[in-house]
Amino acid sequence: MKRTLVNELEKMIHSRTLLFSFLIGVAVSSANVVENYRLTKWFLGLQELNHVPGYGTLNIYTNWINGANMGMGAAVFFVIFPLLAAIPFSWSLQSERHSGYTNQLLTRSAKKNYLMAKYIAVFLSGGISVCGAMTVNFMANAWILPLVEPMHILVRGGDGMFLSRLLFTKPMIYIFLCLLTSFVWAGTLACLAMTVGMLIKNTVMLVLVPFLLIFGGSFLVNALTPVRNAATGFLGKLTVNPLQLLQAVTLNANPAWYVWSIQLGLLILVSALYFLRGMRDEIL
Amino acid sequence: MKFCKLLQYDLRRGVIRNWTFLFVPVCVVIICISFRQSLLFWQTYGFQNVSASWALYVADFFKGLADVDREGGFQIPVLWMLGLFLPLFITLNYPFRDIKTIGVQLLLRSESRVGWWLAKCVWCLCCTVVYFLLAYGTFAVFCVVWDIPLTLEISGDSIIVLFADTGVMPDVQAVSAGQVILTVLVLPFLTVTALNMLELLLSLIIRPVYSFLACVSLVAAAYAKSPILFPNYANIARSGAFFVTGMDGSLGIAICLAVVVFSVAAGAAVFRRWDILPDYKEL
Repeated sequence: MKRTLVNELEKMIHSRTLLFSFLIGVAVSSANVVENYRLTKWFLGLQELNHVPGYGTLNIYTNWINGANMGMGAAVFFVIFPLLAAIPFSWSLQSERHSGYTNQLLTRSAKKNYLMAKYIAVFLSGGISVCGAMTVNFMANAWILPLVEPMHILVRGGDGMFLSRLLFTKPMIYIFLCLLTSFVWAGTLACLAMTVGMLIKNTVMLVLVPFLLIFGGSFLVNALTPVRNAATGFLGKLTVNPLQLLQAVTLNANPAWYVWSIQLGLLILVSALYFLRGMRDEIL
Repeated sequence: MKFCKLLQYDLRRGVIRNWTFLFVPVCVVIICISFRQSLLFWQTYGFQNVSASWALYVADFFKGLADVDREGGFQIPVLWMLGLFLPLFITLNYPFRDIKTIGVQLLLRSESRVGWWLAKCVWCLCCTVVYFLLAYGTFAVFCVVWDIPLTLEISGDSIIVLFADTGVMPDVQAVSAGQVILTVLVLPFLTVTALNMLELLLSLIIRPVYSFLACVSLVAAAYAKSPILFPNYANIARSGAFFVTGMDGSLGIAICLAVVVFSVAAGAAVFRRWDILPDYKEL
């Protein structure tokens, strides 16, 4: 198992698609940094002119890419989030089966070990690609934005929002948990694409599946609410829009227990489908 | 003659047998039901004089998002994006699945790379036309079923209700039929054509998945109101016909046509040297 896992991880780390995906994520999220630079410049000019005390809404915790829910960088990043997660390595299982490489491996290692190693590698690839880009974004924003605790009356992310208490008391732990949650989202979506790859032959479609599901779900939620865009919530409170569930700050409430429950449910479902299909499937 | 045969083959395999077109009427019906619910809601809350029309329903499809206030709430305009993503998805796969399979045999027998590329460009244009015919046709069927007039009229309370969920008030009381044709029918068509052509060109240079990713990013980047980001011209909530500070439609036509011409010309140049042999490497 250990050797198979190391082999898969090496393939994943040296994959060009992982690097491309990470770089695309960094490039897109850099728009958020540019916007924050402009915002800071504007605010400092205003402060100099009017001698306004404090930093207002200017702080890194609510302006980095996962805290913004505003700006072009965040909008583009969360739209392409499922693609960034699926592109790095989710295609590898299907590709190896088509090329006959899987047959070679399965004569040397147990099928269970191979599937498990592949699952871990694909999960990590999605997480590294997306979460890596978000981490770079946070660090780049740290050059520009002040590291001051946000004031609850000035920023979104209040009661009912994802880990709102931590945001105002221990913001660094909040950032870490946001990154971890995004890591799990990305990993789960990458594994979902790989699982679908067991059923369809087309590699391009396989990579698009998480995007289509997230976007299709978001479309249905938007279209079926009585007054569109005004309310995206369920029971008038919790958000059910999949595109918003990927973000820490949304229009509707998204408490941590709710987001993590959905994540856990999806992860269990994807894992069960993957291993059941994988073990039953006749590869040789 | 060879070009006609290639095109005939592309239309048969890439349009008639393209099952992804089935998504179009399904999505449009969902949008129609949703907009009808929205109209009923606003009629109950003080807008009794809303006169629905076919053009109003189509305008809702390409409504998009207004200028964004950074301090206000923001929601990604999923419904508008769908109108632009769906044709990108429909035209994504066929050309390169074709060239990796039987298409390479046809290409060798046709003895013209440029002919093959031009056939794909015309196929792409036909796909866009079919997409819009399906969408507009479904809107028309819905209107006939619900006894909504098939007119180009958008005026009075209808305009206010159309933009109610974008949080902006239009600057005009009524728009002429000519402006409706330009803003609601022509500009979205040209924008989608330009996007599809750009996707086709980028698929040659980078791979189809990255091409799709680039075009999706371009559409999502229309958060920013910039004339260079041409998907903005398919965004009715930023149109000069409804808003004084809106985008200029004639500039939109020029930019979209320029993108189409550039994509066709650049694609022909790139495809002359393009490696048509199958590549089994990474994605």
